[in-house]
Parts: sequence; C-alpha cells; structure tokens
Amino acid sequence: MTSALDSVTVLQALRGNRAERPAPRTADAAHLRAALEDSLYAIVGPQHFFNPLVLRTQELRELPLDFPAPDYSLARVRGILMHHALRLLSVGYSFTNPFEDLTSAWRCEVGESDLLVFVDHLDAEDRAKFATEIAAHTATLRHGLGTFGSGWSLRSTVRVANLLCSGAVALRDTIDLSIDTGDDGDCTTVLLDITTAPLDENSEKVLRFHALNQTLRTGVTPLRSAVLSTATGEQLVAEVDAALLTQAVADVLEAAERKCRV
Amino acid sequence: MPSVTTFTTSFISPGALSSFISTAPTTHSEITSEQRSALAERFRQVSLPHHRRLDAWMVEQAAGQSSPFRWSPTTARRVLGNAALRLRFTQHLSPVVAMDEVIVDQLTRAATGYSRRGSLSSWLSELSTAQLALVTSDALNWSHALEEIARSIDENVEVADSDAYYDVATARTTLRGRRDLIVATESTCTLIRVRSGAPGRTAGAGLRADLTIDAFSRPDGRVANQIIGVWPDAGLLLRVEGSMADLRAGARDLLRVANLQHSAYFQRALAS
Repeated sequence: MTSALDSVTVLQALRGNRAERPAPRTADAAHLRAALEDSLYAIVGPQHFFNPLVLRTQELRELPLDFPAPDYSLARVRGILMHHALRLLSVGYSFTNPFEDLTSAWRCEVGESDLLVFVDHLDAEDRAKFATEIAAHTATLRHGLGTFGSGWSLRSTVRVANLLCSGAVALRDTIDLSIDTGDDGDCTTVLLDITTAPLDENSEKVLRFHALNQTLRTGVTPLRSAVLSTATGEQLVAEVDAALLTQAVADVLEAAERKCRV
Repeated sequence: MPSVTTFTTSFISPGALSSFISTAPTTHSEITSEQRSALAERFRQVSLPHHRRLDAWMVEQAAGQSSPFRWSPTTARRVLGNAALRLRFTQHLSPVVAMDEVIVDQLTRAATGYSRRGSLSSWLSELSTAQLALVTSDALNWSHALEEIARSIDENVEVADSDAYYDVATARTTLRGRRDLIVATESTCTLIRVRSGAPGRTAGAGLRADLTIDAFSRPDGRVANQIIGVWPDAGLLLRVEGSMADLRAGARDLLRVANLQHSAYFQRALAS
C-alpha cells in the first residue's frame, strides 16, 4: 500500500505501469463468498432472514457507540457536494463557481430535501465561508485526480448491494468512481473513493471494502483501489491481492460481530 | 397439475449470462387472437373512467402508491443511456460522443418546438450546464453498465429500439413492458432487462409481466423464449422462461393490479 502527497496524481497511481498488469482474476469471488457466508452465518444466525443485517462503510469504522450522528451539519453537505464534484469532473465539466454549480446539480437530483433547505437558510457570512471551503476542496480534488484518458470508461457513484447468507446479510457500498482503462485481456478496473476528511486507518478499511464488494459484484477482482482526501490532498493506493481481500473479509466479520453485539 | 414458473438465478461472473442464453428453452409459444380478446374483456370489466398505464413495477409493488413522477438524472438515465449505446453500436462512436449526440438531439427537439411540456426534451432544455453535466454523468454510467453486459454476451446483441407498449382495445389501458437488450439467435429470442439495486421477493413477477407485455405487443404474438433480469449492483441474474404458463401468470398479475386500482378508485368515490 502506498501513501503519497502531491507526488503523482491518483489517476496516474491507479493506472500504474501498463506493462505490468496481470491477467483478470476470476476465481477470487467464489472463494470470498464462501468464506464470508460460512463465517457470517455463524455470527448472525437465522434471526436475520426477514430483517437483513446491513453492513456499510460506516459500520466498518471503529467509532464510539455514542458517536453523535452529524445530522444537518455542513460536513454532510460538504461530502455530498464533493461527490457531485467528482461526478461532474468525470464528464469533463469545468467549474465557474463550484458552490453554486454543485448545489444546483444536487438540487436537480433530489428536488427538495431538508439538507437543501438547511443550505438555503445559511446566513450570508456562513454561506460565503462555506462556498470558499467548497472551492478549495474542489481545487484539491481536481489537482489530486489528474487527467482522465479519452478511452477510459468511467462510472461514478457505483452502488453495490451484495446479498449474502440467502439475503440475511447485505453488504451495501457506493464506490465513488470505477474506471476501466480498457485494455483487452488485462486486469484494468480500478476503484477510487474520495473523502472530505483527512486519511486515517479507517480509510484503509474503506479501500478494502470497495475492492471486496467489486469482486463479489462482478466476479472479477479489480486491479487497484484508492482513497483521495480532498481536505489534505493525500492519497492511499493499494494493489488488490489475495492478502488485501482476506483482510477485507476479516473487517466485515469484525463489523458484523460488533453490530450483532449492540 | 398446475404449472409453476421456473426462476433460475446465478451470480454475475464472466460467461454466466452467455450460459443462460445458450441454454434458453427452445419451445415456441404464440398468443392467439382469442387470448387477446379474452384479456381485453377482463380489463374492460375493471376499467377506470380515465386512461391508465400499467407496468411491471406496479405488479411488483402490488399497485401500491408511489410518489408522482418527476424527471431527474436517475429517471432520465435509462432513456438517454440506451439511446447513446444504440447510436454507439450503429455508428461506432465513442461513449462520450454518442451521449453528446443524444443530448443535443433532445435539446434540438425542444428548441424547434417538437417537444411537449413535461417531456424529457423540455426538462433538459430548462437545466443549467452543471445540471446537464450531472444528467450526462448518470446516463453515461447507465450506458457503460449496459455496454459491459452486452459485451459479456457471445451472441449478437441489439439495444431495444423502445419499450414494448400494448394498448388494450376499448379498456383505456396501456401496458408498458421494459426491455433493454434483445439477443436473437437462429432458434431463440432472449430479452434482457437491467435493474438497479437488489432484486426483491417480487422481482420474478415483474420480469414475467415484462415478458407478457412484450409478447402482446408483437403483431405475430410470438413469446420470447426467456427474459433475463440483470442486477449489476447486486451481481445477480434471474431468468424467467417464456412458456404459456408463465404468460398466463403474467397476465393474471397485470389483471390483479388493474383490479386493485378499480377497487381503490370506487372505494374513494364512495367515501367522498
């Protein structure tokens, strides 16, 4: 796993050396599914058949049980706007006023929402401060990402819902960007997650969770998985190998045990 | 002995979809004009004073209330994404160029006055550039997902020109069956429908309704050999075979929805 600050863009790191790409691995998915199902069934038992145990990236993080949910906070809005920024950048959009552009795009998607009303009611001072913050995060994102190749297939906000143990457990995930660099015969899919917080040990868990979910969803193991922080510009890039996927399974089992105990 | 629908499921993996297609049942069924008349007669018995449109989603939701339709990047992505992929396959354009062509075509329709109010063209023409970029991004996602599925099939695949529509004579009812890809071999025809999220308990009934509507919409009444639902988010495939028993079950499900709507309408009328 490599961590870098400003040395190469995250897209360059994800792309890596084209000559060293392995052949697509298609055998991992079945092994992982079997390993997960055996262990998860022992943890969750039969009681979850009509009320599935849902595991998301939030459940992987080790937060205190009384950690307050940041409802209606600017942090949540910032996260939403930066995801929209990535979606717009993936189609080559160039921002004139990031805050206005992103809130308008968000409004188009959700129509009316309590969070939008919250943003609309910010006073002029808070609004101006927040708009500058969004512009800075957008600039970091654009700089950290780098340039997309013209022949790449980009899919932003890829939703994943892997059902395990006959539906008793659901692994739900949203991969911010999945890129297929499109060389036939090679393993070419890479995954990217963005966060508006600085990177920490939980970022590694998120990166592994994405790789695991993508493998289960498509039956093909992705090449690399990365996390980029729009707060600091740091990036974490990992080669997806058997050890990483095994650790991802362990993370999921740990989260399931923790959630079942609560 | 009553026939039952056979659902076959599989996880998505390289070759899984092709394997479903190569093992399609080879029996052929056709809808007769007597069956069309019988269906129309039953829909007439539960008709409403206004026109209605029924689809597989209503079957899956048992005619439950859903929020009123509004255009959004999510609701527009399938129409735009399918059109872009069709263009890409026929004119060999890059995904981005094909999508641009489709959006420009929609905007041109709005600008030249060929779109009605509330249509996709009219909605797109009212968006800002940032909003249009978000719509493009979502539609490209759909188009990429559909292309990935199409390219995983060994046979010749075509993107469906449109959904299947069948207007039930004198019952003021239109049936709409969704279909995304069509795989026609020498002896079989397979419909493929791509869905978001994970399949629920009624997903099979929804696919069966789509298969039924597709058969009724064909002038020759030929029933596709199978319909395959693809849930890329969940990595799952679900197959429903196109037998006459499945078709009857699909028609019954649609009639049940019509019946529920009929009862609800008259209960509301009596209460007011």
